[in-house]
Amino acid sequence: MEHKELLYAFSLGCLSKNDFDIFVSILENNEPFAYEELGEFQNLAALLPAILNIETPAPEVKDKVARKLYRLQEEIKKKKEEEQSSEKPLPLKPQEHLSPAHAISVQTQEDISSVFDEKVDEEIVEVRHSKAEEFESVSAQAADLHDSNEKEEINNKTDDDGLERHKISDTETGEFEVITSTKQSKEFLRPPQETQVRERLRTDLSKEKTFENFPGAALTDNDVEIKKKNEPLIEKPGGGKIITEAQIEPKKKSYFGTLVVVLLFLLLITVVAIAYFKIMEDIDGYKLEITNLTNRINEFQTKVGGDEALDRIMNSRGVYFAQLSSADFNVASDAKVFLSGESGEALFRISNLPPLSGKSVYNIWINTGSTFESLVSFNAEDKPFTIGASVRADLIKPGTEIKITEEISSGADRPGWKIILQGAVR
Amino acid sequence: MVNIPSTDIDLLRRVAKHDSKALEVLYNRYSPLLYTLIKKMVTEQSLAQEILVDVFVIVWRKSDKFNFNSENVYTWIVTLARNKAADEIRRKRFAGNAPEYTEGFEDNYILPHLSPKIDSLDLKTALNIKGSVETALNKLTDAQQYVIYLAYYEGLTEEEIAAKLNIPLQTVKSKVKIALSNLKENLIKGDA
Repeated sequence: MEHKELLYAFSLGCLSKNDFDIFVSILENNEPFAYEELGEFQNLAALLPAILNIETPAPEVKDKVARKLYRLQEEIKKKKEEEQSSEKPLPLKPQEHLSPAHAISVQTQEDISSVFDEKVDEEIVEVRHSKAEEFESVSAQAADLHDSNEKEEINNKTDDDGLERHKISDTETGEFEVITSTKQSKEFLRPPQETQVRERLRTDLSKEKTFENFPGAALTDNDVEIKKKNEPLIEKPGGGKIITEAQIEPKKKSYFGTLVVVLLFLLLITVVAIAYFKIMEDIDGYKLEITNLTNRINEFQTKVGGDEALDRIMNSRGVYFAQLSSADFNVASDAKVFLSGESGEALFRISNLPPLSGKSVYNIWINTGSTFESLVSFNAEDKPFTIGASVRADLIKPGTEIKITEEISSGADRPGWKIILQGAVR
Repeated sequence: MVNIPSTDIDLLRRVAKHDSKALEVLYNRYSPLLYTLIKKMVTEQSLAQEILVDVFVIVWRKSDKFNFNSENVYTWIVTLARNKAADEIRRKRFAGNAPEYTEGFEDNYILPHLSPKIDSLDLKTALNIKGSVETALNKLTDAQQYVIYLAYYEGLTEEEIAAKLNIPLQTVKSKVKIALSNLKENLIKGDA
């Protein structure tokens, strides 16, 4: 049977796409086949990795699995919500803004919330909190309450009369009910206003620390003004003038605020000045460093050039060497000469030459037997350097005399009296 | 602490009902083997980790497609991981010409198509007989071992192996068949 031949490669996972599709259709259609044999080879192939040296994945991979599953769950939930909302295109109700709080309590009951260990659970809660923060301030209220470990349950209910009842039970304050008008919300609480009102509501909650004086979820701007008017009045110690707490507060704040601004300004100037000097100092340092690096690069280039020439000479046949020194023991000048009898190339490594006087140059000479021949002239340098020259091959032999003299810059046809270094080829 | 001394099949049943604790146990049990397999195939550690994550997400989403009558979670999950890693390798190789990764693709080419008549096998048993498997594998010729390696770990198809080794396709098919048959024979003989 031709198809039976496919089972080996199928078990090993190396069938081509066409053969794979054919084979799968056989399996799916329950056609007569050597299913036992296929099962044996599938087990056999799956046993192959068992002989590998088992390596454990990093612990964070487990967390990644948990997070990915959580995201997956969230996406599914979102899709469901979208589907539901598309089925019921009703206007937004205030209670829907409380959904993050609901979501938090619902999510904790979901099976996915317990995915893997406690550490992962904590991370998931963090993710949920960050999700909740994306919602309006009222969500933040819910998240805050959740964070402070106050067990809170919010039950929302909308009556036929358009009043929405939020039953809130809290471990500290017991149960209470907040009634809001759905109609009013629909009419007035356009998103930005609604956010502002709920933000105030949240602030009030945190200030008063009790839900007994909860001003109501349907607090409007008018209510806020009324509240300001009804703020407790206090007597000023000396005079009979009566002012409110609200009148005292701003003065303190403005004085303190000015002080803070001045201090911040001074601090800013100081920081800017320090930063400026630091940057200038750094720039100077970098300039110095650039100069040093440039020098080093030049040196390196000279050295590399010299090294290449030296390599050529040393790898040629008929290599000779000469050491040039000064007749004057007080002069520290010194030169090493490498010569190639094969290529007629000479390399001079010179160091510590004295400064030249006036418009003069150094000249290197080689003795031809009857006279001296000029090889090259150059200016002095205060650091070691390398210079190359071409030499007649027949002159490169032991005993050939070499001189470095100081000459006038216009040149000379024979060595002058001022001999700086001299020596002979060895 | 998780306290579920369950069999693989019990765990997968619970995973199919979206029991996350069961998935955790399954992860703890299988992740080292699957990670080792995937890393052997893709070599890159971070990619191996990503694939491992994907594998367990697939297990979570698609465990209901497992044939619970077979009672062979081991071969299903190992084959799933191997298919996923092989798919990654092939996608890299095709560089843009790979088919789109859809639910349908995953169901057809990543989820294993196990034989309806497959013997049960679990991780514990697999690890108990690993010595025998190693011996059986070592008894194969180098060429047979290499063909198995190219097919299983490098994710090459028979055609690709033929092209790589510059040998006829029929020869590769024959080598795959002989290699697996000999491996099975060696294993049976070794156990006997």
